Order: sequence, then structure tokens, then C-alpha cells
Amino acid sequence: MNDKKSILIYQMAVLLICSTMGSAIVYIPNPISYVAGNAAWISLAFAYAFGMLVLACVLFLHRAYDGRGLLEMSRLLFGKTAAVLIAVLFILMLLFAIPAIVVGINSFFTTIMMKETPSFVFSFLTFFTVAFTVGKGLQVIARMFVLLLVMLIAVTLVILILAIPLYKVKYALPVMPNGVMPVLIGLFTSGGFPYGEIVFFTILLPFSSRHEEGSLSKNMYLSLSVTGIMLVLSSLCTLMVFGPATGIYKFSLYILASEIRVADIIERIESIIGIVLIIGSYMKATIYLFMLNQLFVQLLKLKNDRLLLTPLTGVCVLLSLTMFKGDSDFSQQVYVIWPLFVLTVGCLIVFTMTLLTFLRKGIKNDEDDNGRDPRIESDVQASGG
Amino acid sequence: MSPYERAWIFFLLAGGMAASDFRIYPKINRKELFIYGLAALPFLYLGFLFMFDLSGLNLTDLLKLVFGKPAMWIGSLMKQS
Repeated sequence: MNDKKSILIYQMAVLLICSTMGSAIVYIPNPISYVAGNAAWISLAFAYAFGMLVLACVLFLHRAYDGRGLLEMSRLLFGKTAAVLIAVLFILMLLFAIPAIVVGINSFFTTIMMKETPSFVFSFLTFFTVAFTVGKGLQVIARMFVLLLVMLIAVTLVILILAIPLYKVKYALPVMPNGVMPVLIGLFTSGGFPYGEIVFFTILLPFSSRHEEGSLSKNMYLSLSVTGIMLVLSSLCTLMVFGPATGIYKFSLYILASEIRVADIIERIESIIGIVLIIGSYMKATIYLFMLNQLFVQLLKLKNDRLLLTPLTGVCVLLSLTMFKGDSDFSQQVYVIWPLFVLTVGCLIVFTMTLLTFLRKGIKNDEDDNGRDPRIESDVQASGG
Repeated sequence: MSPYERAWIFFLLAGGMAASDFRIYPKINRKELFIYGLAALPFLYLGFLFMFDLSGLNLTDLLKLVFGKPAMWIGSLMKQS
């Protein structure tokens, strides 16, 4: 990747946190508590372990193919036709994910803050900001998101600390009153959203700087751990405040913030959580729109990487306005169909690619001194890399 | 919202998009123009659905077609739990 377009390793790690924690920190406590009850945080902990596995596969592929993107990796492994098919599947996933993220923002505004305002207003404003940010390039995105992420984490932690007097440990007990099944269903939902979505980083990792490649894995695992800790904490804290009612509140972290009252001075701070939700969703939508645009640029071999940005944004705007037929349809699509889509398509593709690459690498004796497979290296060289 | 209002919203969006790409148009070659036109087709189709508030074929329908049955089974498990 051209150095002018690459970002630093720590910035890539920040983008991983933004895309995995972004909107999930506000949305995840509700559906996971709904299905797993008191064991929601256990589901999230297992899902974090699954996320680590997905990330390990993504990093393995990145190393094995010398920092190549999804399209090139799949072309080397399966051939041109299959590579195009895989790219189309990833495009479909992103075309679902981006409008869904923005519909989440619309839903938050129209159900809690600005009930009379039509949702297209929020869609337009959000997509305008997202497309404008993507147009500025990955380096600008990465620099800006470092600041926004620090704010997002700090605000969330402050809210969780201020809510300490409201916590009742008895609400979190017993840990698994209904057995293992609810934990597994919670694991399915949170395994797909947000942890399964790590597969999208096969598109973004080639943009990481090649100068400090050694610390990439360490930084990425660390950033995923930050996401894991934050999601488990937010789920556990809302559970300890609302108990079994956690699954009923759509934005439980927002409701938790509204309950905080410190010495009659600090109160009604829920709008700050609203800001967290908007920032988180905006960052995630921006990263995903960048990935979608890049997939098209690579697939169609475009010289101008801004050519399709506007039409793609327009399609996403209209998808966000026509795709979901109400709140219940949105919940079913995002918490059931989306995890299924990510796990059975995205994760399966990445796991298969990892397995095949691993098998091609064969026994360790075949490896050269750099730990890279000579056969894959020769494929890469033959392809003009 | 009436179809008339929806049409206004759609044309506002399309106009905004055309204006934002105004600088790109003189520079694009035939292949790029063709790709741009192809990318505009789903936009026009979705715009048509939006303007007339139709429930025509959408991305979610495609997903329901593929994942509908397992999703229903998982949904019933969620309700049971």
C-alpha cells in the first residue's frame, strides 16, 4: 500500500475499537439481556473470545499474503470468479450494515429525543457527514477518530462510575438461572454483532503502515480487549441497575444515565450518552462506507477512488429509508438475520481462507526464514505483486 | 408523507449528489461513465420505491429469502429463553 494512503498501527487499532464498540456499546446490553438475562455478560465474554479467533484469522491472512487485501487474497486462493463472488458477498454485507447503523441513529432520535421529526432528516444529515469524512481520506478519518474515541470511552466510563450508588449486585445473581441455552443464543447474537464484523478488516488492514508491522498484532489484540472489557462492563452495569428489566429498555445505557443524580448538581446527563451513541454510530458508518468504496475501487480497478462515493452514499440513504418496515422488523433483521449473515457468510469465508492458507503452508519445514510460505510468495510474485 | 413530498425529498437528494460530483463529470472517461451509470441504477430503483412508498424487492427481502427459515427458528429459541 502506498505510504501516502497508509495509517499508523495504533490508528488502525483505534479504527478496530471504533468499528466494534462504536454503536454496540449502547445497543448491545438490551438484546443480549433480553435473550440471556443475567448471563448476558457471560455471553459477551465468550463472544469476545470468538472475536479474538476471528481477529487471529484476519491477522494470519494479512501476514501470509504480505499485507494484501481481501480481493487479492481470495483471487490467489480461489481464482478470479470466486474472488468476485466473495467481494459481492462482502458488498452485500456492507450495504446492509451501513444503512442499519444509520437507522439506529434515526430510531434513537425519533423514539427518545425528537419524536415529531421525520427520519429522513437524520439519514440525510448523518450520511452527508459520513460521506464528507470518507471523501477526506483514511488518514484524516484515523486522526479524527482517535480524539472521538477517547471522548467516547471517557464519557462512558464516567457514566458507569457515577452510577455506582445505583448498582445492586443481587440483580446480577444467579448467574445462569435458565441454563446454558440463553448464553448460547446471546453468544450467537453478540458473536455476529459486533465481533463477527471483524472480518471486514481484511479490506482495511492493507492500509496499515508496513514500517512497524511487528506491533500490529499486539495493538489489534489490545484494542479488541478494550472493546471486550467495555461491552462486558456496560452490560454488567445496566444489569446491576435494572435487573430483569434490562432487556425491556431499548437504550438501557441511556436510561441508566437518566437515573444518575449526584448531590442535586449532576443530573439529567442522559443526553451525553446520546452523544456517545451518535459518535459511535457515525464512526462505524464512516469506516464501513470507506470499506465499501474501497471494495468497489479494487473490484472495478478504478483510478479515481472518489468516483462511486456519492452514488454509493445515495444508495445507502435510500436503503436506510426503505429497507426496514418498522421497529420490530429492524430488531429481527439486526439481532437475528444480521448475525446469521455475518457468521455464515463473512466468518465462514475468512475461516475457510485461513484453513486453506494454513494447509498450503504445510509443515513448518517448508517455510522460509521469514516464516512466509514460498508457494504463496511465488503466487504473489506471479501476480505481479 | 405524501408521494409529492417524497418526490421532493428524492429530487433534493439526487440534486445534492449531482452537485457534489459536478467537478468529477468532466474528468471521467467512458468506462467510468458506464460504471457511474450502473451505480446510479439501484439509486433510481430505490428512489422509485421511496417516492411511491412501495414495498418492492429490497436487500432485506433477499436476506429473508436466504436466512428466513433459520432466522425464524432462532427467533423462536429467543422467545423460549
